Amino acid sequence: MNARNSLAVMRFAWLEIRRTRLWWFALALILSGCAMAEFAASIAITETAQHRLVFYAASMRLAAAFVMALLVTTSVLREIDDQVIDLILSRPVSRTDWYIGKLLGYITAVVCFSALLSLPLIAQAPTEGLSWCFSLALELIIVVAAALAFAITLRHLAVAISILAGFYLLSRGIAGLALISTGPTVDLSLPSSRLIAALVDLLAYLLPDLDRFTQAAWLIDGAPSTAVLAMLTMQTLVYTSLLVGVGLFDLHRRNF
Amino acid sequence: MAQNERRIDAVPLSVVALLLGSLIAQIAIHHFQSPTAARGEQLGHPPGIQMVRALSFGEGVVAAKLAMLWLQSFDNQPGISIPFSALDYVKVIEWLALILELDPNSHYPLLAASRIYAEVPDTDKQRLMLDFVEDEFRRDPDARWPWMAHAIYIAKHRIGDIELALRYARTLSSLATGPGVPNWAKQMVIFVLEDMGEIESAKVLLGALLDSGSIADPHEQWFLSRRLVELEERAAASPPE
Repeated sequence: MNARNSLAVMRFAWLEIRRTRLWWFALALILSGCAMAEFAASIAITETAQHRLVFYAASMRLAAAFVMALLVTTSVLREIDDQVIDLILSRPVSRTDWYIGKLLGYITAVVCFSALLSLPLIAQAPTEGLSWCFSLALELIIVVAAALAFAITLRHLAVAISILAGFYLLSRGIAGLALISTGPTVDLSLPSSRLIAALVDLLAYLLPDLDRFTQAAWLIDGAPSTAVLAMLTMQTLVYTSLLVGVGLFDLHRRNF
Repeated sequence: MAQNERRIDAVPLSVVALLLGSLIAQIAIHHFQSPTAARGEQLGHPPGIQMVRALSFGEGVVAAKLAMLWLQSFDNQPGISIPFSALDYVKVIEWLALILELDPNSHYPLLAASRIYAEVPDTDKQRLMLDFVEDEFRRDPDARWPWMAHAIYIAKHRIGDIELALRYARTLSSLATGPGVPNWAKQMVIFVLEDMGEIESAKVLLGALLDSGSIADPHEQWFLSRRLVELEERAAASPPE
């Protein structure tokens, strides 16, 4: 792998994101999020400040994941469809250089995007807001790594976006599903119940536990401990490596 | 192999190693991290009914089902009495009321209220939950009588408040008068006044409820049958003196 080549690809990815006017869009997102949070706070009878923080955080988390997933998937598929990638790979740039460069560009974008979206939270609750911002960046790194891998692997926009949405929602809900599938209200003497519980357990091993990330509750109950944030960082590193492995495996098998 | 794919040996060994290594690391992380536990203190107040209706885009029943499963995820873990008693019951009741308002024909919230949340070893919480069951029973007595009947059982044998049980029994007898309500339910006042043994009362309630054929859902039948077996086992383990 050539670091200079990767950095060059990263610069191009960054330039592309700048030209999509993502930062203006982030500003619009912040304003609409603040308006929605203010509305939620205004109709709450009590705990007004908490409603404001929680509604803003929850809506921004979902919107950020959606926007970044869409941005990365469309960008990569456009590059493949327009055969720009063929042109780049015809130069002395390896597939790994291109892939890592792209990912680094997107990771830089999500860090900036997370920081922007977190500004209203940091202004109201600095320590908790910073932890939330850090965790959002980690979560979005997994999202963009998944978007890149799925775009390379699936090669169709609608399919890639649908699978990505399923992956994200399932990753956020898998812990709850695992609890429910073996809970006291489930008849585990039935083969179907046991099969479902085993499948859910297997999925839990293969998916990142995103329900531990970026919790709006941190803004109310206090910032998470350093150990929690370290665990989230570790999970992000491992899962991003896994997604890079999946994406590179498929990229290297593809004929251009 | 598809035409636009190269042979698998075109993949560098380092990529395969990265893929396998990170997969093993992911499995190890999941295996060694502390399991997600349901935490009662995290349960917040529910949003307003209008907001839920707006956010569910007209699918109020779907929102109710999802909300019920979500609420259930707070307490679905081994050691039933500990997590349930850790929940804030005022908030649980607010959630159950919201779910019932979204889907008034659903029996799930009242089953959960009377058969799960009212079984905790905390008298105050039991009373709160039974009052909720009574309030909701009054809105549709002919459909919701089974849960009121169980509330009588809880009041009599678990809380030990015979006056409360009698009040509930009178409410049941006076309001649940439809043709679908069995006679034994209408005669609950007599059961209370006779002051039968706990297991016998439970067996009458559950056995008759199951025999009445009013429970059509097989999972609900299984759940109620299991409760009956549990009661019989408890009776066998500690026979009355």
